[in-house]
Amino acid sequence: MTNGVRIAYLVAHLAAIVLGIAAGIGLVDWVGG
Amino acid sequence: MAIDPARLLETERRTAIRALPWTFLTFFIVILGLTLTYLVMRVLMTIGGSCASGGPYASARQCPDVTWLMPVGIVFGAFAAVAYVLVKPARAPSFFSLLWPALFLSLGWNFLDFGLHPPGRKAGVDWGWLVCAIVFAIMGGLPLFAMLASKPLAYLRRVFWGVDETTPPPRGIMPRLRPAARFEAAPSAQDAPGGPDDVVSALERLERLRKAGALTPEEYAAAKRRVLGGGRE
Repeated sequence: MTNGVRIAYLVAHLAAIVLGIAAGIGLVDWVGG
Repeated sequence: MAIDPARLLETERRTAIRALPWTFLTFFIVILGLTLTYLVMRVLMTIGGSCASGGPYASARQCPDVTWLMPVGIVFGAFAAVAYVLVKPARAPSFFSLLWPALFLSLGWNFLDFGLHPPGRKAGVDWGWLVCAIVFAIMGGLPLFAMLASKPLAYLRRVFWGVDETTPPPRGIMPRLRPAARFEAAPSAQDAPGGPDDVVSALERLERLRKAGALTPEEYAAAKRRVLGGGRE
């Protein structure tokens, strides 16, 4: 596995964490009104 | 059977790139599920920790609108965690081992926070929730400590960088999705000591040595033949 692919996976994981938390906060705010 | 090393590496790279969006999507749903569970738990604890809605009885504490997000988050998050393990290539960075500690430590923090500052009270603590906080801290903290205690740097490297090429990869639940596993049909690759993953690792190392100038083209070709032929010329 090349370094580029490893970095892409690391970035994807970090992006998923940030976006997942943001989406969760947004969803609770939206549904909770 | 002759195997072209460049084609082998290229196929492994393409397999990993194809799995990337699915890895992102499944991990995103896992994190979303964790976040929903954490946040809705806080909402429910603010009103005392329990609620009820519907049915023939008049409930003293009606459930808030967001309540349904918690079971949905738990179920979808759990399924996504399984899917994440299945789609992620074996050597890629893996955050899976952090999910259990993340779940129990985040929910344990809620118990601790609300146990020390119970809603609706001016002073005092809620020992029921503090006991839950201790149990959750142990459940989440002990595995994390165990993983970090022996070789912390090696563990962190495995999480953030993936399995090293010199280390045998972990056995995946679905071997067909592991990179290079598709070459198991090649007899010479199967003859290699650790299986096809070792062949790929050896070829990658040889390629790097050749590019660095440590191996002449003749030495590289001879070494490559040895790797692919299991020592037979």
